[in-house]
Amino acid sequence: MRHAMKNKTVQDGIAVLLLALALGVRSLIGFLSTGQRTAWILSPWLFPLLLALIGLPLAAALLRRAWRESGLEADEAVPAVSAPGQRRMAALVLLTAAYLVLMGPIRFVPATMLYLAALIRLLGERRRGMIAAVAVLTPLALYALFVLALSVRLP
Amino acid sequence: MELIQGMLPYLSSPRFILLCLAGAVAGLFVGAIPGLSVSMATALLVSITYTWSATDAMAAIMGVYVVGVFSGAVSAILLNIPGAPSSVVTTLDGYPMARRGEAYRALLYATVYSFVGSLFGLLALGLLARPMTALALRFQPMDYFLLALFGLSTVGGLSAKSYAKGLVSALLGVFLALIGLDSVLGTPRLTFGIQNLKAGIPTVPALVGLFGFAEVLTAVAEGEAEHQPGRLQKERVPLRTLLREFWRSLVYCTIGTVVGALPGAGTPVASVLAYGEARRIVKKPGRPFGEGAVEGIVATESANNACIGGALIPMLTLGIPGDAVTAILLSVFLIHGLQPGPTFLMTGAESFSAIMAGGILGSLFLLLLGLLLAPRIGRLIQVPRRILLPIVTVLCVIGAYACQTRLFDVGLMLFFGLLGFLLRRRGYSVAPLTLGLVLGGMMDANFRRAVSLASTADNTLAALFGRPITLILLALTLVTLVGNLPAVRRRLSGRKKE
Repeated sequence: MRHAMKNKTVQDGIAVLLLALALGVRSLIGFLSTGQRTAWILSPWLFPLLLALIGLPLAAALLRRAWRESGLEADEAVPAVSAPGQRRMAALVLLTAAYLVLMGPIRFVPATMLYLAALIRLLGERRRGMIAAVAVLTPLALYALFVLALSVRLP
Repeated sequence: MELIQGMLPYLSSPRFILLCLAGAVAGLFVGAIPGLSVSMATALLVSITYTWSATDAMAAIMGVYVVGVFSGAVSAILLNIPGAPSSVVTTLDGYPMARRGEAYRALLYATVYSFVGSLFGLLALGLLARPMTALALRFQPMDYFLLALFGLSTVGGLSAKSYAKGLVSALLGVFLALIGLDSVLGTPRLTFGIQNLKAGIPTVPALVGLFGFAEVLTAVAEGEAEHQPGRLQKERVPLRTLLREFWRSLVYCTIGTVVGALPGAGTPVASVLAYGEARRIVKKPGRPFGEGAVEGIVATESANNACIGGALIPMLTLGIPGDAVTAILLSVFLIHGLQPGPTFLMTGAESFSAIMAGGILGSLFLLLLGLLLAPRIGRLIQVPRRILLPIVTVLCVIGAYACQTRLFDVGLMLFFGLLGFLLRRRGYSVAPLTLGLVLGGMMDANFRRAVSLASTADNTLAALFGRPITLILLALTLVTLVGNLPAVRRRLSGRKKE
């Protein structure tokens, strides 16, 4: 059982099954709580219920596919991300989240300057002049383009 | 003849030509930058052209519209980030070509066949406005629902390795499209108590996340930021080779025009259907579909640009916009005191001629700018990715924010970026999800409308499926679904081998 759960197609099948069941139960509750017959037809939960019903055979198809893969070993998904890759990804997500938080209080241009400098450094650029040039010029150019030329509001 | 005579004053007016060129340059720029959309640019133009004459406004807007729909392919090919939903399918073959150093070739095919598509659509607009309107008028809610379902069943096949995974991705997209206030009763649905989700999931942040931020995450996770990108090599493609796909492109153009004429279906459905048709009719593509087949680019680009002419047909003759941009165009007409509708071809003949002239000039500028400027925009890929990726990330943030100026949308973009990354790692294509997201709302509304209408009829089943158009669409959907069942596929491939 534990071995089977390591197979990504089994995991996906179970995830789709759970999602379809959750959506089905929620839709059914919403659907049944609607009173009259005419309201049933117009119920906002009619289409989600149909969607949940379509999800069930799809989950079954994924699980059947995993079953057919002898030994439950075959997996066509992309190989796992390396540890340094995971660290870089986590840093990117955290930096972007911090950028969002900072954008409100310190505004778009300074926040973008800090974000770009940190991200370019994270991705491996070592030349300080290049980092500074891109980090300073890009936000200014984007500000001129979006705010001044296109009248798009930025934080 | 009358129409040609009506267009001549515009085609020879330097002011009209210059305004159209300005619009075309803006369209190229807007479409090529990830996160900016043609509808956003057109909406911005409405506020700028408010005080202009109707014909001046038409010139600029048609330039943006025609070139903007094409230039979504530029970022789709070079960065794997579609500039518009219509270019989602272009990424499937365009980006693999760019990664192999064939970006110039991909751009060339996209430019030439977008041009062919635009002209075809406009020709259809000029010639077939009335008969096409009659056909579109016959479509009922169930037909729209089945058309979208057929589109999704076709898109399931886009993720070449597993049809079931393609359908799961599409289903997830439709599920996400249901979040928000329901369109009929206005009750909140699947919002999990989050106030900002009541208006639903906005398409732009989702698109930017799924294609832009997810791509950045993938590059960072795989250490691709360290790699130097390949050079954009100018390639000589003989005209004969380039035009080899011409006759087939007319099939895709027809699909694009017909789908464009159906209100609500729009360019994403057209490009998906055309791509599905290309997979069916091209027996021996240069490379397998999804791995850099120029035939795939020809199909999507000719179909989505042919949609422009098609989308204008119901807008001008019925007052029903075919897509977001024509909805904005409709508002321009109303601002200038023009009323599109069944009598428009008679009462607004001048404006109709201006639109046609603007479209033809826009198509010519598309060809010119596509051949001259698009490859130069391609210099973007020569910037080291460790510099380019952070800039793309900032553009993603701006693109997500600019639509509704909400930081919440940037958070949504982050969520969709992570979702897109995870799906790709598990072997799912995000293109079906995107199309599900775009079409889900329309499917829901039309399905409920159809069921509601049928419930008052004596024979419910006949009311739902008893019409020839409905039966044809139902049959097409069932054939696509059944034809992709593993057992049926095995049997079919077994017969072929025999």
